[in-house]
Amino acid sequence: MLDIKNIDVFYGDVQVLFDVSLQVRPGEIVALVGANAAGKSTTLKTISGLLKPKAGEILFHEKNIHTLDSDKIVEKGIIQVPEGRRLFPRLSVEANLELGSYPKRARAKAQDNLKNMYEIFPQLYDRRHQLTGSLSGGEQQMCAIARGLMSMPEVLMVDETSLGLSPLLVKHTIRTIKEINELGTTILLIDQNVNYALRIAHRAYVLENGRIVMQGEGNSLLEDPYLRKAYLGI
Amino acid sequence: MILQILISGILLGGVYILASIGLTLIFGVAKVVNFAHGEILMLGMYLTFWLYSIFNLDPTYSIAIVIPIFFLLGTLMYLFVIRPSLNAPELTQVFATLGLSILLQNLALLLWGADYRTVKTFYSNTAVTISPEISISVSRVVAFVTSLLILLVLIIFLKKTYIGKAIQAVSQDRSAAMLMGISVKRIYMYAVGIGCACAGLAGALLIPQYYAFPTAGVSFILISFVVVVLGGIGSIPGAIVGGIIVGLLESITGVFVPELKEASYFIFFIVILLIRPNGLFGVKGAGEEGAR
Repeated sequence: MLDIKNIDVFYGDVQVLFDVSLQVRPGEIVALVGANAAGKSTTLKTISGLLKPKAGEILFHEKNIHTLDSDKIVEKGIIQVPEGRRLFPRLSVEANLELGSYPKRARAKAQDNLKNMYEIFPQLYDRRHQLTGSLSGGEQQMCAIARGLMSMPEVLMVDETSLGLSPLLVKHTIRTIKEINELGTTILLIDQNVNYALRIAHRAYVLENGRIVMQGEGNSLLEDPYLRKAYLGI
Repeated sequence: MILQILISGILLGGVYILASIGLTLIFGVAKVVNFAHGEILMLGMYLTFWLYSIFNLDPTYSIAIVIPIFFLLGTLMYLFVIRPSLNAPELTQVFATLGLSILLQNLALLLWGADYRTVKTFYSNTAVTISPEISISVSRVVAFVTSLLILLVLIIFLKKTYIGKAIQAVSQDRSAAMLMGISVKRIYMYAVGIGCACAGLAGALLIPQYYAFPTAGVSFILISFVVVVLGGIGSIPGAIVGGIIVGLLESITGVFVPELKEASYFIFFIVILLIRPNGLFGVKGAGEEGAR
């Protein structure tokens, strides 16, 4: 469904991604793991159209999307929940969620979706008139995921799912992501916490210094001696 | 006497708000300082003047024509002046709108000469006397009330519509807005269009009390800068409070120390900047591109 083929990406003159290829199939949870500065966020930014690859291509449903502007990519059904949540701090929870349904593909069903989000995340309903700047980290993460879902995406990309959350909240977030996936949304997630990410992912890719060095099923990667040594410290 | 001064200060402030709100909106969203804002206001004065002298149209009614024309003018200004300089260094952006300002001044001079023109409505010279000490000019009240109504419409638009919320989103976090599927460039265009419509409107509302001439915008843009920086650059509540403060200061010093009338708000402005560099309602880092 989402097919990244041999992309090279630069920040100015500095190359950060080298010949990266990955596939996401319908209904999957795919994890992209790796150390800090390995190029995970860069990969997502390139898929979202904030960065343009110098070489290679990105296909969605067999059509090129790497030449499109970011708003057109969202309109096709790929949304990103960015690192650090990036909620609009001086807007209410509800206004943030409504902005999630800004793309034309989601506007008509905005009210229904808002109701659904409040059902999935009841604490957001309680805080719907609060400014998002005043929410706790966990609530902000829920709000950011809900805002992403409001666009009715086919693919939801989550950048640093667990960063800055307590272990309990991480578990909660991971469970939520699994539930969202079971309801039919394909997921591409990034996490520094390799352990969590590999447990819920059907498949995973390991990124090191801008190159994909390993790929495979989530469970089998967890058994891999190199990966265990490098990322789990076992 | 005190009450009279306060009332005229607030009435004056109402129009200053309208003159400044476009400047703060354009800066808040596109992070571009529109140095041609005063000239847009000047063109609003002229348009209203010509509508009055050719069609005998009252300035208050002419706003129905001023709004669409100046919105369009703003979008053209975005497309031909601001957009090409968006990725250029800040100095280039300054020169782009500053250059437009000089161009428009001279265009006005060429087309309409240096004459001072104004509109005399049937209520221009009428004043309502409330008590022996207080009398209020009707045209000022008309300008004030119309400004407030327009302001109210603008705030409702920003709070309730998709485009309005997207405008706020872009001003708060540009790249997050892009990731939410908002076409940031289109939002810039709307913001500049709305900002120019507000400036044109302010010109239309000011013409019964002030003269239109090619450099009429200069004094208003100075006031607008004070209002905007005072309230906190990019902040709409800030522009509202800033507008009222500057109006009050002007009317108070205008009575007691007329020779310091204009100096007074600059002094106040410097004091505020020393105490609160981000302005009264300012958000830290609002001037940085895309905030983060």
